[in-house]
Amino acid sequence: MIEINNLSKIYSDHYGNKIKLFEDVSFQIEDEKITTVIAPVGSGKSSLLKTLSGIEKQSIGDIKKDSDSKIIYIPSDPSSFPWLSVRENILYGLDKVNQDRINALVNLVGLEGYEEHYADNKSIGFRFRISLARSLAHNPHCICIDEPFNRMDQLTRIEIYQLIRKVNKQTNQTILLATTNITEAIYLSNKIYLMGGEPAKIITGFKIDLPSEQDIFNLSSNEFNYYINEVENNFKKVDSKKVLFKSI
Amino acid sequence: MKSKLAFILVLVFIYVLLFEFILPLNMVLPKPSLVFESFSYIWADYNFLEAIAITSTSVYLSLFVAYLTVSSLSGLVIKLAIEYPYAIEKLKVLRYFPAFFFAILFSYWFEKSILAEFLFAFISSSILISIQMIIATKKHNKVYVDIASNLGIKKYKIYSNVIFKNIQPYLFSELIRIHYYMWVLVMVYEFINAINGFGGVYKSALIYRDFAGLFSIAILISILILFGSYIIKIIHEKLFYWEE
Repeated sequence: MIEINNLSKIYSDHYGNKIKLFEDVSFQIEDEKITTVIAPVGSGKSSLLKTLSGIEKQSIGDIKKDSDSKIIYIPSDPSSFPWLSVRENILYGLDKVNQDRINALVNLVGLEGYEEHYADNKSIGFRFRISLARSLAHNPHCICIDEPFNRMDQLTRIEIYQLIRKVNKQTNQTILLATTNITEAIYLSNKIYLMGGEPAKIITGFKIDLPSEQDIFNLSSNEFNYYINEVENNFKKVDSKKVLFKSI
Repeated sequence: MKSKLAFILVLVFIYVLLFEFILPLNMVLPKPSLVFESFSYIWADYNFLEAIAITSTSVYLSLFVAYLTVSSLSGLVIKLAIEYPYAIEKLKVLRYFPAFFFAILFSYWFEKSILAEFLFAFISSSILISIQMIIATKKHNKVYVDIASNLGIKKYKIYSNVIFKNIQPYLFSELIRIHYYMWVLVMVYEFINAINGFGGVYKSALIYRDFAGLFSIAILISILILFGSYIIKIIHEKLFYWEE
């Protein structure tokens, strides 16, 4: 488990004023589960994920994890090096290469037959698959995925939702997602945390207890609507001006 | 392309009409028929083939070697641009020195030789390419740096393998502009040192007051520069498929 305790991020704007992006953020990322942080645009989701991955430094707070465990960050886009082939992208940064494992990862993310292709003119979904395979190749403790679905069309979104669930199920990979979309968060996650306010804080968090084979085309069950209402009502309490999205 | 060609043809038509028929005797531009005639004699009179060989080799070979050299040192140049931006800002004062000052300085330091000309062209190209690399570094996509640093790639390798790869298409496209400057610089150098390149040819044409010859030489040089730009564009399209 990764424990985040009282994490705050302060940055200086162009005039030198200190601004708190988020404050006292505390939550847990459970091993082998999908955890999602839902927050409106501009709440510091990307910064939170980058801080957890070690790309940015936290201003205050503590991240408890094993010292040798890796947290890999996947940005929204572009997330693969366009000058490298699919295989070179997946192998990037690896000291030791296990070809069988790489081939298995290529198959897992659905890139078989495309190993020697270049990502430069491929779709966002294709580039996301490369990033996911590259992240998995590093055997990370957790993969932080930053708003991956923003620029995807609906069909690609559904494909990638299913891919994330498949990867989590088959490899027991711990995943932390950040999104502005309530529906996709509830559909994909085992646990969600709601973040809002200024500076942003964790408002609440709850476990999602839905059938594991939830039909993506039929998300109108009572249980599903219950979670949507929970998120909306909690969010309205702290942030009535900003919006979260509901449709896929 | 068609509109450019049409524009050039209109200019040529006006030039022929004005200076062949209306104002044949003037001190502004030479008679078009004289320019046309001069195309045949400049080859022998000015040793034009040798001039093409010397100047083109100086420009393109130095540009090629400088590009390879700066590319191999990209990690260092990008490190300077990112980690010491204030030092780089201070160096900007050098842009106020006119380029021909350096050409004169070089001719003062070295004997009149083609090797010195190549050295001058190589140093000038390297400086111009390095400046463009420093400018381009400010435009790199930070997402790639985030990914690489998150994967545990060392800082210097990020500079040379990630940022450089990201800015390389832009840098190579800037070679077209740099090669225009290089033609001017190399010709200034040859003009000052009376070396047998195009600069030397221009000097001779000026001494002989060969007005028509000056024009035909300029036309041939512009065709060579255009051809050079075209080749650079083709290489750019073939090599840098990942340009964003």
